[in-house]
Amino acid sequence: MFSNDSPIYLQLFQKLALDIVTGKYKAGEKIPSVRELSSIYKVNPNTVQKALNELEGVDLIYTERTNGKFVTSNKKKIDSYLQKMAKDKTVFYLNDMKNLGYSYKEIISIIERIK
Amino acid sequence: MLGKVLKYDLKALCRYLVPLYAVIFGLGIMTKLLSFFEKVSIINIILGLMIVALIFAVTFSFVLTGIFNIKHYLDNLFKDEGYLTHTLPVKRGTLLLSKVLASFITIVITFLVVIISLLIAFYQKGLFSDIIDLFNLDLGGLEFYKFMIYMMVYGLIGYLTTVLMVYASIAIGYSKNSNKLVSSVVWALIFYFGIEFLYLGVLGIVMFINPSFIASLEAESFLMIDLLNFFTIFMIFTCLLGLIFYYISYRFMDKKLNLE
Amino acid sequence: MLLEIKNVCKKYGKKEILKDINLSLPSGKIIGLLGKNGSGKTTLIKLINGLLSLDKGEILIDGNKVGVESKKIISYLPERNYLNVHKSVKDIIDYFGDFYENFDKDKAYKLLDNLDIKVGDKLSTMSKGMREKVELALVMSRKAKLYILDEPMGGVDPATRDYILDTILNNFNEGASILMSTHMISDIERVLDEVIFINDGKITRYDEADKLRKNSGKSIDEIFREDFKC
Repeated sequence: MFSNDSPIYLQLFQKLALDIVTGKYKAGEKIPSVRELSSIYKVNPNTVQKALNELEGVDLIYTERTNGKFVTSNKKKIDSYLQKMAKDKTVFYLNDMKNLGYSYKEIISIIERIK
Repeated sequence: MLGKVLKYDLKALCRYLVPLYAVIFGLGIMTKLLSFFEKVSIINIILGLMIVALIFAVTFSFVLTGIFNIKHYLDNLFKDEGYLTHTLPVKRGTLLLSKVLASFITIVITFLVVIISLLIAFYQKGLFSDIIDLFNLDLGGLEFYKFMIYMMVYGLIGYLTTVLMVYASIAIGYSKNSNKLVSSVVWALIFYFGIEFLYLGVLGIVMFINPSFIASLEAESFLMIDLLNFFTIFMIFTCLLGLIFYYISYRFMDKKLNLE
Repeated sequence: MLLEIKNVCKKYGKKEILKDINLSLPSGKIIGLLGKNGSGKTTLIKLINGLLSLDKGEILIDGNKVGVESKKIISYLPERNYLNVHKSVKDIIDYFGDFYENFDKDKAYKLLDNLDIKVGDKLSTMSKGMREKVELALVMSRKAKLYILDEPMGGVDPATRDYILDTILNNFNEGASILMSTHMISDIERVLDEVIFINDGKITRYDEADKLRKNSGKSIDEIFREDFKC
């Protein structure tokens, strides 16, 4: 599931962020415990903890002292993170294409054709 | 913790000892059963063979008990099983003491098994009163039973010291990086001949201090008690050797353990 | 620090196996002890468990020297089948229960039940791989502070590897550390917090796994191969 050549916690963070913005874990819903996530993704609980800290850092989840971790109920935050992800991916793609020597116009015409 | 360790040591030894005891009891019972038909010549021959086998088994049972204890000591502390034994939260001294106690207990049980089996095989009416008469027999100023008890204690000490000698040899041999078994055997031989030499030395010292001693053994006025006093010197000496071997085993196991 | 190793040296005859090892390992981490065969991994592990005597240096486990106290809190899986094969599974569970205060019998029975092992089964009737699983289940059923697993993935098939990794992850005591040796790095590197590289009796790296990945853009396995050109 994860590649070994970049930090595992970042990969897990991205995977969980994707699950949240795509609605696998809905707004306000409880997410699995560290142990459960560690078992699901077969990674170290500390790695899960780190990934969750990152998620908390971008306000996608919050901790309820004794009950565990929940997806934020603020849908705006989720939406804006979704947009951020879309933007990041687009920028990444554009940079790649620019490196290949394509102009914006050419890129758009390629997209039009594939669609 | 000693109780727990001892429990499992005895359990492990049972695996070897139970078949041995079964054979000894079996031979004893067979001998008795066959003796009811000893008038039939063919059965008489089998009975003869049975008695020979019983005597053979009885004689070797003590040696075998020692060998089983040594094998268990080696396997449990110095082979793969040692990976578990030595990582238990138990002191090394407790592990060793348990092995020594197990040797003591098993040799006593073997002795009892042998006695009971012989009684089964050869019991006849009046046997017990004969034995009591024999025990009360005067032996140079000492009742026979006292002499027997004395010899049994001496035998037990001698047995335990021999087992401890092998324990020490193994503890040293298995602290080496290679040829562990060979160096154990070499050390056992060194100890064995060393002891023989020391006994001769002790005998020499006794002679030197009391030159008339041997003469007194042949004299008319020979008293058993004198002979026992003479043996007592050796008994104490054997005890001392046993303690030294115990200490050697302990030191090497505690400071030089080398499992691989 | 949970485990402190100071200036530890070990020789076999004239051959130096460990050369001045220094390490301080914290609680709550899964730490990989990575090295090729013969690099000194097993020797170091045996020293921590008191199966070998120390030539020089000091080893402290939770502040105690190797001894009864350290053995109470270390749960150790040797690199070989070490249980008496004449015993039944029940005998061995009783044995562990008698000697280790932190052994959880119910958990052991549950783990073995998942393997479809009956308590009356004798170890001698099981395959080597099955024995390895039983041994791992017993070791992970202790609520230890430090689990030391020597080559837990040695010589088993991929399906078994998954089982072993799952069992380790799902069962280790919270707040405890795991020190795991292996030469098959790619199989386990994703569960490691920290890695120790050992080569020819010396520690050559000790760092966080994700930090090494971030700095180099490579997997631990690749970094290891580059370090030691194997």
